[in-house]
Formats: sequence, structure tokens, C-alpha cells
Amino acid sequence: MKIVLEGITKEFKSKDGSNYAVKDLNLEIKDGEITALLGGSGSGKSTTLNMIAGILPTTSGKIYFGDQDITNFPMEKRNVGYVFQDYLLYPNMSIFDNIAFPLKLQQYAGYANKFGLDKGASWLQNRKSKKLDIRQRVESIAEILQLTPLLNRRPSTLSGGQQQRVAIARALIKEPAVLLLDEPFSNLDARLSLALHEELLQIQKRTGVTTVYVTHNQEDAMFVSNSIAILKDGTCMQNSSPQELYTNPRNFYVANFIGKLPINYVSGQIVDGKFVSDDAHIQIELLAENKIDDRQSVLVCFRPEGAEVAKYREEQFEALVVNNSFHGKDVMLKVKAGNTFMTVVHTRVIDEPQSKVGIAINPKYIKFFDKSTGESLK
Amino acid sequence: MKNKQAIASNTTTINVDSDSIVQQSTLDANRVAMHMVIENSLKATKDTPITYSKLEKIKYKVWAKIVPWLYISPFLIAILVFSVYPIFNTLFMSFKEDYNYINGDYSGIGFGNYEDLFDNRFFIQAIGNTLTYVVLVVPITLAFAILFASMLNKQMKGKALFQTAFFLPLVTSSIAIGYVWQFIFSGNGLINWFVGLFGAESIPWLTSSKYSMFVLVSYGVWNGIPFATMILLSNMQRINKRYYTSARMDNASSWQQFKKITLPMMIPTILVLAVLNMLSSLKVFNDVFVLFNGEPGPFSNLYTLVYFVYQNLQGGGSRGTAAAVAILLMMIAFIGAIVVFALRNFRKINFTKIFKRREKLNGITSTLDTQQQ
Amino acid sequence: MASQAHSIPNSNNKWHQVWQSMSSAIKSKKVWKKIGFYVSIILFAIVMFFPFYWMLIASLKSATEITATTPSFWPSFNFGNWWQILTNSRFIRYLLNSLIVAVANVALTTVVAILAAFALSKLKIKGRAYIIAGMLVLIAVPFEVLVITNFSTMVELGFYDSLPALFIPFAASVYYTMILRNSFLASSDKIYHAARIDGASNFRYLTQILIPQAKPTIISIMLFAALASWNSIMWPTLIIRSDENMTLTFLQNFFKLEDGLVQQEMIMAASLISIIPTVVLFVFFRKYMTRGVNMGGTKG
Repeated sequence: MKIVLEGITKEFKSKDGSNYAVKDLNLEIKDGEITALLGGSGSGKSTTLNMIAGILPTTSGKIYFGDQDITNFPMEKRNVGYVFQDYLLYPNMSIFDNIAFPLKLQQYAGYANKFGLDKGASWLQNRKSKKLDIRQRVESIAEILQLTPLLNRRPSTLSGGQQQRVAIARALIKEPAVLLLDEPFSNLDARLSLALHEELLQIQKRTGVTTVYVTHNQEDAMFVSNSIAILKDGTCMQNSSPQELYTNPRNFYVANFIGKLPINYVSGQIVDGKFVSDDAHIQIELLAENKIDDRQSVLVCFRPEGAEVAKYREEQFEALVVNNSFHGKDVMLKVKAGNTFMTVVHTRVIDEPQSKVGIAINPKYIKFFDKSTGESLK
Repeated sequence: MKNKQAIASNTTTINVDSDSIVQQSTLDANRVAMHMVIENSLKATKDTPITYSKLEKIKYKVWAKIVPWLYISPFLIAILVFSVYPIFNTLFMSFKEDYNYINGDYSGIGFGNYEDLFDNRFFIQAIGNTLTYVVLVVPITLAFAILFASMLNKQMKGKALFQTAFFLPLVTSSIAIGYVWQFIFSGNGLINWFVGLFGAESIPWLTSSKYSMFVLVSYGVWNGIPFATMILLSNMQRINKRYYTSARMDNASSWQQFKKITLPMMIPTILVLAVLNMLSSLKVFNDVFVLFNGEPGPFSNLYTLVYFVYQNLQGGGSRGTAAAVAILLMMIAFIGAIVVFALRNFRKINFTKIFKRREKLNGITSTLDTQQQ
Repeated sequence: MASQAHSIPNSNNKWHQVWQSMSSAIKSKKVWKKIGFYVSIILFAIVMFFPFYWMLIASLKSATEITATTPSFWPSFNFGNWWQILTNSRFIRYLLNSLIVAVANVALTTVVAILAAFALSKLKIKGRAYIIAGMLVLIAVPFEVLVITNFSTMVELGFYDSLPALFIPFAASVYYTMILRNSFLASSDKIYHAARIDGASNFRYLTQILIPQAKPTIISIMLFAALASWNSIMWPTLIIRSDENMTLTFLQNFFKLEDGLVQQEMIMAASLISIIPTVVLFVFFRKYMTRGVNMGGTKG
């Protein structure tokens, strides 16, 4: 089910004025894919998720499931499966009953309608076949999530990871249009996180349900998603595949956010087709395809692997080695070029104090951003 | 050397302008200086030994052992004198036949007092009355309490007002309101006026043996509702609201939410309240005293167990009998409490009958814990 | 022209909208549910609150009004009854006795309970488990079992027919101590150790750290102790003989006229006045009560 958010705004009014958790958000989530809503705290990602689910009403804007405008639909009519951060399994019911709960509600709803037009005397027979039907469906979902041996136990006897799978099963059993998860990785240690990565990908493959989840950890987002939407202060900075976010960030915030190490940046100007840093220490000749008009405030950004420690290259500048960190295959050097700190990849550790190296930046890896707006320049 | 480098490299450069980068480096320098100052002062005191004399050590050890007992002694003394000793004393007293309080004489040790009790028709009546009272009051009180608590749990305007109305009887003395109750149910009181509106004759609430129990029970229920409601409400409010959200998303009606979420989580509280209410109902005396001006009902038909004790403690009564009644009362209370607790465990076992043995125990103790979510 | 008859003029547009939303709301089930809810909760609240209202009304009626066959629901503002009660020196004495006893009871019980709960929660006592187990057993023991012996004890100690007899036997309450103990246990042990390491004595820790932390619970049990003392019947009627030591429990002493008739309006006035202190306490400390009761309610 494709989800489209159009001009979504969420305003929280309080005594001290109002606060916009989400401001004019436009987002498209593709059908059958896993999308991560990634952002720091206060970026509005949980609020957005809750608005998709219908837990929070929108202040303005529209939400579409497929082609249908469901903005005013209450949550029970949206057919959404929601997995809470703290799982919220019913403690007094067995796992089987927990998973079957949504189905049983629909079954009981049949009772309420029994004086209506559609039931009549056959509701008793319906009940028996419904019971069988429920059992089958619970067992098949449990099999997908490897919960079959746990069906008769109580939630309190299960580990955290197991409880989460039960919560996911409970959300999936009503074959929802969308599966939503609120910070699924936050309560798990590294090992369980990896297990959950596998699981989500598997579930996606087997059921093809459109999945949206919220996280603040970019590694989890990078691993488990077809596309990531980066949110900041209630708006979407960029929504593309992890690859695309890494190599072609659309603005500085995204470039800085993504990546194990923060991106290197140098502030300066473009004069005569050449980039000159503020302290005039670094000068980069622009390639023909990166032609940008002369302008004042520019940020030049590049990943650690985009710069080289070189001795005899023409376009290099001098830098002082400040720190080393060993990463197995590579070594990350923290160097100071002029007034700018940057991190560069190298093959060996440079331990000698006060050693100087020459750094050359590979022009193909450079991204230009306007210093004031943060937008990408091309 | 290494430390300094580590400290110096602890700068985080998320800020965009280079000025703050320079600022950070000066902060580093300050931090290094401070570390050196602390290091030096620690070195100065590190090697100075702390010594106590042997006598001081012994004094301290003894004192440390005594102190806890000092704190608990007033409590223990009072408990021993006014709770523990009386239990045993009353127990023995109940076996002293023909116990003469004044000079401490008794004719023998045996069950004589108890036998006399069961020959006394007022006593039999008292047992019947008390049990009837308990069996009526406890469930009715709890039913209303559950209803009121779930109503008070909702979002509504004027919550404080309603809470005051429902909880006010908690603080007021049952004596004072007892008079009001008596007045309302009196021959020409409000209730009869109400009855008269429907054309019926006025009912002798307080003066007939048939209706007096109703007056007593209704007063007991009215008195018991606020406390139970308060406890239930505070426990209901502790249920994670998102359970309801989750159920709503699965299209649950309010009744279904109540039945599947609220009620199951309230069951332990309800049981505890049942026990508490039962224990206090067994001791019903105040209400009788007030409603019927010190008499046990209009035709002495509302004897309760405690009233029996009270009567025997008055001038012409027999202490031994009173003691016997009291002991019996205690027995009933204990049995009642045990029964309810056994019922509680039995219910849990039923739900988890597919469990293996060890998981059964774990399930019981840990489901009790998770109720506190 | 024909269309004008059916269209709504612009100036009424807003009201038309309001009317539309109201009529559609009335048709919706939701509004009926809400109305039903408020109606029922108001009814229940009336039933629960009614005795107080009636007491208020009745206390303001004159002797004739109160025996009228058709009762009136509206107050008549006859404050004479109140004045009579309040100027009755005997009543004032009873009132003061009740107050003195309540205050002494609260003070004594609270202090004893705090000390004991502190010892049982933070201090090491050998046999602590046994003491606690014994206490749990004692909770179920009804006071009636203890009354008989305590009566004799009080007489032997010379406290028969005296005010102290009304609060001394209640100095130790297992119930309050357990509630306090639970509350103290919830306070972190680490703070206790840190305070001791910093050189604080146990007493200092108790008064300056633990008690402020447990203030809500302490206030609630003080309230409950006050209420229990104010409302007790059995014990005072047994142990108090002389008029000067009587408490408000003995309200009925006032109202037995020679011919056996009872002055209802006076009883109501006296009852009203006797509950005023507790109502005042309630209004101010309502939130403490709900919070504190929570601790003790979930026993087991």
C-alpha cells in the first residue's frame, strides 16, 4: 500500500505557545518496501508515525493510503499494524491469545452484529469455523516468526527479543495494509539487533507488507531499508535509498548525519572557478562538470575515503597529524589543515608526533553546499 | 603524554563555523590543567593512614549492633504489650471456664465457654447475621466500586468534583453519617416519603426485624464503596494507556477493552480488596451501634459477633465468653483470608494448565510482578 | 427567486453550520453515549453525596420543620442549631478531647512507625525476616481479640477513664509500619550508603533525607491515623466513664430527651460540626490520600 503524506503539519498547543512537531511534511512511501524514518530526537519522526497510524490526528495536511484519502479515518478503520517500542503484550494472556487477539475482536464484533442483517442463525456455525480459522492463521504467523514453541507461554516468561516478535506477529495477523514499528531497535543489544535485521527483511520478503519504522540509529536504518527518510525539525530532508543518501546527499544536514564518521567539511569561497578555503590553506581546482559560479560562502565536503595522504601530488595541502585510530584494514588519521580538522583514510599509522602529511582531495568525491542554506550546489 | 593527546582529541566538530572549533581547543587546555591539579592533590593524601584504637573499634561495633534495635524498640514494646500478649491472654482466657474477672478465679480449663456460646441462641444468630452481612456487603460494594472506578477513569469535565463526591465518606466518621442514615430511614424520614410518592405505605425500616438488615447492609455498602473505588481507580490509572490504543487499533469496542484489558489487570487488586473488605465487615459493630442507638437491632435481631464481645465486656458480662467469641472471630477471619488467597492461586493455575511445573511457579510469581506495569 | 427561498442568506451561514453539526452530532451514537455517561455518573454522585447534603440541610432546620411530613430539599438557613451546639460547653469539651486524642495518636503512631519502618528497611537486624513475618500475621488479627486484654492492661497501668488510654494502645500499628517500610524500601539504598560514607548518622539520614522523600506516604498515614482515631467507637465506649473525658463518639449523650424523643436537627448539626475537621483535611490532602493509599492497597 503506497502511503503519501501531503503537507502534514502537527501542532501541539501548550500554555507557553505552540510547538510544531511536524511542519509541512511531504513524504511518499512506496508500496511493498521498507522505509526508515530516521532522525534525532525532536525531529518529529515518532509523531509522523503516529499520524500515519491514526493515533494522533493531523493539524493540517492529507494522508493517502493508495489513492484513498484517509486523513479523517479513525485508527480502527485504517487497517494498520503497530508495534510499540515496549511491545505491550497483554500479560494475562498466553502468546497464542495475544497474537489471536485482533482476530478475536473481529469475531466478537460479529456477535454485536448478530441482530443485524448479515448474521442470523448461522453465527453459531460461523463461530466454530472462525475458531479453526483463527488457529490456522496464528500458527502460520508464528511459523514465520519462529514462535511456534512459545505459543502456550506467558509474555513474562519470554525474553525481550521473543516478546518483540510476538508483538510483530500480533500486528501482522490482521494482514494490515501497513506495518508500523516504533523504535524497534532501541531496546535490543547488538546481537538481538542483528537478529531483528534478519527478521524484518525476511518478513518483508515473505509477506510483502509495506513497512515503516522509526529509528534514531543510522546503522540500523542503513541495513534494513529500501529507502530512508531523514527528518529534521518536522520536515523531510531527503528520502532516498541508503546508497543515494551516502553518495548524493541533498543538503549538508544529510551529509553530516549519514556515515559512521561525520563528513569532513571546509568552509570557503569560490573565486575564478577555484575553491579557496577561508584560511587560504586549501585550494581546489574545480572540474569542468562541477562548474559553479563564483560565490561567497561554500562548504566543501568529502568523506574520509575521498582524500588521500600523498607525498608528491600537485594539488595537495599540508596538514598536521593530530590523532590516529586503527580500524583493522584502514587507519583513520585526524589531521589539521590550516584551521580545519579533517579525517582521512590511510594505510598505516603515523605515530611520530608533529608529523606533517600532504593531503589531496579527490575531486570526484567532493560535494558542494551553500554555507547558509545547506543546500547542495551543482 | 598519552592522556593529553586523548583529552585534546575529544573535540566534536558538528558546528559549522571555525570559531567554535578554536573555542573547543582552549577548553581542552583548561581541562588538562584541571586534571593535573586533581592528580597532585590526590597524591598528597593517598599515603596517609587512618587509624582507630582497639577500644574505639569495639565501641563502634557494639554501638552499630545496638542502634537498629533502639529504633525498633518502641514499636516492638508496644506490639508485644498491646498485640502479642493480648492474643495469648485472650486465648487462654477463652479456655478459663467461669472466669471471674475481679479475682481471677476460674473453675477449670476447657471448652466450656465455647460450648456455652453454641447454646446461646443469640450467638448463633450473631454468627448468621455477621455472615449474611459479609456475604451481602462485600460483593455489592466491590461491584459498585468497579463500576464507579471505571467511570472515574475516563476523561471528563469536573473530575475533581466527582472525586470529592465519591470519596468524601472515607474521611467522615461513620458515627456522624450513621445518624444521618438513621434519620433518612426513620419512620417519617426521607426514604419513606419517597416510598409514599409511589403510593405505598411507609416501611418500618428501623423498627422491624425484616427491614433492619437492609438498612445495615446499605450503610455498610455506602461506607465501603469510597475506599474500594479509590484503590481501584489508582490501580486502573496505572495501566499503560497504550494498551487501549493498541486494542482500539484492532477495532475493539469499549466493552471489549474493559473486559480484556482493564478487568484482568484489576483481578489481584479486587481480590485484595475483597479480603480487606471481608475482614472489616466481619467486625461490624460501629454501624449497628449508631443505627440502632446502641441496641443490637430493633428486636435484638442484629446481633453481630463483635457486638457480642462488646456486650460481654459490660458490667454483667462474662470475660471468658467474650474472649471465646473474639478467638472464634479471629479464626473465621483467618480462614476467610486463606480461602481467598487459595482461590487466587487456583485461578492462576487454571489459566496456565498447559504449563510445566517450573514454568507454573515462574508464571505465578512473575505475572504478579508484571501487573505493576 | 425560487432558489432564494431555499438558500440560506449569507449572514446566517455560520449558524447554519452550527445547526448542521449539532443535528448530525445528535444523530451520532457518540453524543448519546456521552450524555448517558454524564447522566449516570451524576446520579451516582448524588446518591453517594446525598447523606452529606441531607445532613447540612437538616442541621439548618428548626424543630418543626424537621418533623414535617413532606421534607424540603432546600436549606432554610436556620443557624440557631449550630449556635446552640457550638456554645454548649459540654460539646466543646468533647470536641477538644477528640482533637487532643487525635493529635496525640497521630504523633505517637507516626513516630513509632517511622522509626520501626526505618529499622526494618535500611538497618541490619538479625531475625528481621521473623519480625516481618510475625507482623504480617498480626495484620489479620482483629482488634476485638485484643480489646479484652488491653482493657485490663490499661486498668492495671492506671489509665482507666483517661485520655491517654485512648491513644497509647494504638502506638504501634503494623499496617502503617508496613506501608512506610514499603515506601522506604523504594528509596535507593545507594543514597543511604553514600550518606553514611559522608559521615551522616542514621538519625540524620532519617530526618534529612528519607523522611522528606517519603513525605506523601507519611502524610497519608497521618491522615488515616487521624481519621481512625476520630471515628473510633468501641474502645472509647469501653474505657471512658466520666463525662470530662468523653469524645465526640458519645454524641448520642446529648440528644436523649426525657420523653425519649430525639431532637433530630440538633443531632444533624452536631454531626455536621464533628465532621468538619476531617472534611477540611480531606479537601487539602486529597491527592496525598490517593497516592499513599496506592502503596498499601496492593498487598500481597
